Amino acid sequence: MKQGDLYGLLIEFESPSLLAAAAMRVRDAGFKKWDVHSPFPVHGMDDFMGIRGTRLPFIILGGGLIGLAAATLMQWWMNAVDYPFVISGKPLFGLPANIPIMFELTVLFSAFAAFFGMWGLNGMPRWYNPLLTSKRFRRATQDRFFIVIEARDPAFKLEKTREFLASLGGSEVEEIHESAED
Amino acid sequence: MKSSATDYLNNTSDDPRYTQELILGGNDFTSITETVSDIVLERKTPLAWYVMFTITAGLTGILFLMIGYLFLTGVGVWGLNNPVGWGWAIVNFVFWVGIGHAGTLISAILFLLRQKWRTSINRFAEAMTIFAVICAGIFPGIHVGRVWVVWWLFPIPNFQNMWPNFRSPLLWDVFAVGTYATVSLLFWYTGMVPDLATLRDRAKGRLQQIIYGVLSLGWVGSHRHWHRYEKAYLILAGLATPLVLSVHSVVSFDFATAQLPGWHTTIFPPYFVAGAVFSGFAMVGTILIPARQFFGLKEIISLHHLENMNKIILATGSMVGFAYATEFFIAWYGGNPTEGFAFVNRAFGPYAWAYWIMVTCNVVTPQLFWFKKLRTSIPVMWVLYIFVNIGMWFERFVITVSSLSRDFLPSSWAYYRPTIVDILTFLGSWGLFFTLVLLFIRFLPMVAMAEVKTVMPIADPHSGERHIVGDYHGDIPEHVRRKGHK
Amino acid sequence: MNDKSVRIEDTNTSLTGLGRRGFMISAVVGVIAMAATVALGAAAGDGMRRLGYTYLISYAYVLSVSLGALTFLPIMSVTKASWHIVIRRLAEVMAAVMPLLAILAIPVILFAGKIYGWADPQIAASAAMAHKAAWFSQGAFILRWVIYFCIWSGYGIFFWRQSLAQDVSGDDNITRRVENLSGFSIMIGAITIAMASFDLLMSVDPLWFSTIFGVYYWAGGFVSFFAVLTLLTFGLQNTGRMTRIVSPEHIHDYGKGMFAFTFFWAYIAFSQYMLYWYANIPEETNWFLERSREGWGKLGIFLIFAAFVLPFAGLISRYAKRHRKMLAFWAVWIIAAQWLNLYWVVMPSFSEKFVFGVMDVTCFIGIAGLWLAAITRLAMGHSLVPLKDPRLEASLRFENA
Repeated sequence: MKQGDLYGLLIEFESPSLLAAAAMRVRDAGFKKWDVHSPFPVHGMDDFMGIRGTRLPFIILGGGLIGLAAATLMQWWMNAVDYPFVISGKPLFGLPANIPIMFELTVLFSAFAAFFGMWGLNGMPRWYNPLLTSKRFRRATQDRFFIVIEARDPAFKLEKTREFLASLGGSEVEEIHESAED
Repeated sequence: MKSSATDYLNNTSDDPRYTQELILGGNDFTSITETVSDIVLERKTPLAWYVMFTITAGLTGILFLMIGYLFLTGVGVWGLNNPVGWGWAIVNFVFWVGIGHAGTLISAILFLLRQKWRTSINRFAEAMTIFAVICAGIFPGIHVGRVWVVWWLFPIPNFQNMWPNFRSPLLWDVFAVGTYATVSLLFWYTGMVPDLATLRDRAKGRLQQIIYGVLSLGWVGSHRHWHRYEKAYLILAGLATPLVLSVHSVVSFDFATAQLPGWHTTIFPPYFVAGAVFSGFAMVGTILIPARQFFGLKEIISLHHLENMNKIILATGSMVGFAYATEFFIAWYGGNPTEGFAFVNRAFGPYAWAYWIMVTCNVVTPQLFWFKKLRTSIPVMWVLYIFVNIGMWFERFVITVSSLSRDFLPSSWAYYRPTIVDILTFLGSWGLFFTLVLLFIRFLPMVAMAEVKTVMPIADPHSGERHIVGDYHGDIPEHVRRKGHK
Repeated sequence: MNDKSVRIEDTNTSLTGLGRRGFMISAVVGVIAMAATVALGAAAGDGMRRLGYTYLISYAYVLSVSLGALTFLPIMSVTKASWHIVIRRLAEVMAAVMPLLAILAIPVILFAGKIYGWADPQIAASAAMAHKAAWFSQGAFILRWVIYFCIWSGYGIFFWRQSLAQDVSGDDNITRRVENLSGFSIMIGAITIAMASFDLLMSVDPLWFSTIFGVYYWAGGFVSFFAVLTLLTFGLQNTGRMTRIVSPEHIHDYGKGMFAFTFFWAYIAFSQYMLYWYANIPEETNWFLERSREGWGKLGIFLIFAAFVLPFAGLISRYAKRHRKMLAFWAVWIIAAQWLNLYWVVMPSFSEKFVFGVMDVTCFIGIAGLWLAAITRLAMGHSLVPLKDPRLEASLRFENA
């Protein structure tokens, strides 16, 4: 199999502090399609990269409200409308006895929204990633720190970007291709 | 600070100027990764694991045998009688659900409280939570009598046009425990994805690569992903915190909404929650101590971690004691003769032996943790954990059985005894629990590597000194060195 | 983000210039409001009965705030927390005014015959009261209050004195000593606060009982403590004190405290209500029955929103927790709502029909004014920040990670 198109350029760093300094320079150079890869979330990196907030909280809030509404309607309709029966003298629908399930379903739906919303926004599951063709990159989930600038970034120019990356004080710059040579 | 070569593992100093190091022995990111993932990927499965697994799998077999026998015969095989219609099955259910509270407390509440030490033990505790909830879920399921209509518990449309009674606390239980199990699982799995990716990237075998590859969903440590991941984790923690309060509260409602003396009291919800955390921490400790010893995790799960756990055990144990005392006081204060009798009966009636086991193990012995010497001694704490496990099982036994066996009508009083089936079923649930624990230890990363790395001083991009943001001169901290700097 | 270069020397940590004025104003307002309350109480022509009830409510409320401080301090101490060090002195001063609250308890004891059901000869003679006649004798009641205040004052003053001593000596052993005694103080605090809540509020209706009542009272006080702490901090900062050192990160934690304990309070309140509603036993539901009719029921429903739903929704976002004006708004709101909650707990025993008057407001202003005067007086001449606490530096650099 022949090498695929150029995906981007990869550079490795040894520590979070080196990574942070480099990330700020990439940010300031005006790149858009680039990313930082680290074995754990580096504190303050949102600012170093210039990432703004996520809409995830609103998705979760929506999930929670749907759960609350679903629980309320379900209990009311099933116990007070469709199949009413009096038991232990309780009203067919009365908040004290229905609040526990309203609470539980609110939490359940919010949690689903958080879980699926987060993976969805992250575009995961993603079974193939060109980055994983790099042997070196496997340490991104262990003990090394990487910056990748993608070829589709409008400011990407192979030689200039390579030079720029090389000036950041990391390891040798590596080209990543869409598919690996076999 | 003492820092001789022999006691570098003791990080329990109370010097207020000194921020306790959580990860000892000069570990760095590489060594943490190796220590934890090698247990799964590299180390040969020890013989002891096979021996233990055989035993626990055997016990699990007994569990299913007993359940089969129960299904074929009926709940008469248990020691239930009139008036004790709730026996060991409910006791075991509450016991196991309670155990399942430590995981979420550690992973969610301690996370919100910025307790960094939680990172070394949260994975383990969360796993244990899920296994305990699985064990718990079995008991009410097999207790319904007519198991073939167990689906009536759920609002499933059916030809009889019936719906469940949502005003019953037993149904609240279905939703509370179901939600808890689901959310705990999501939380546990979310936390584990970055570590599964680590295993994927370190695995040498093709099969391992595929399995961990699929499970890790293609995680590559992208910070744009981390950004949303951290937000989701925070919110899941925020959701799990009231959830963990609600679950044992709902379990306590099973009792407290009734009019039975000894059950119907308003302090039950917070008291059950405190007791659950208490028993859960003891169970985490019971398993963690051998595990850290056996798998060489003493530098990651340090004495400081254990000491903090013991403090939480002391605090929650005292809360439980406080609740016992309040119940007694109000039973007298309220002036209801049957309520008063229920409590005198607990302490001096036919189940007094169980009551005093409970008080000794839950209230008296944990007080030993006031002494620093004792709460930092591994053998002492382990013995006390066992006591708490025993005490908390008996607490549920005392609440359930002593109240039921002597209710309003003396002519219907009866003494309850478990049968061999009760005992073997309970024993079998331990088998199931430990089988799952053993599988977890063998196949999944038992320490949250990614999270542990964040609390190491070298993880701070400004580590060492106060950089002004924008200072491009990053440094590799001096102390990124392997062992021996102490 | 926290300004990492901030130092304690950069800010004004003394009350000089404000203290005397603050003391005078709050003392004068407090005294005038109390005098007005007494006049209104006398004018009511019921032998000061109405006054007794409203005094009990506002007194119990202000006491709950100080008790909140008295539990906050040891909890922070045993957990070796550092975020709160820059604002710890404010909590210490709130806890150290226990002797004043002891003096303010005297009217409660004097009014006891008018406000507590157990002092009513008719109720006292009922069979359900026979076994606790001794418990509710005047002497036993007073003795218990003496014990509570000896313990609370002891601890409040202990925390205060130790902290001031550390300002001078900078001795780390003080931190250790306080930490060692904090564990016991939490235990003793739990027992005494629960017992005191039974005596102070629950025994207004001596036939009613609830094991969770102590937690209920404490939770309301603890959330109010965070609200008062917020307002005190903002007040000091707006007059140029403690600026910069108390950063948005600390303010964020106030917001979290108010948010979390609003929820906790609601959880406890719901548990208490639902369990009695569900079991439906007359001797237990009677208390709620009295509080669910003749206008009290409407107040109760209003409280669900005022004390739980609205502040919960208002404080849920990170944005609100870090927004000074919003946080100040919710702090005032929570104080009002929690006070109103105690009003709902106590007042239906006075009147079956909903009542509310100027007297209730002036009485609250009176007691709160005296309390504020006392904490101002106590803080005068001392630093507003524990200057030599070993964890001060960590607190200054604290960030919500």
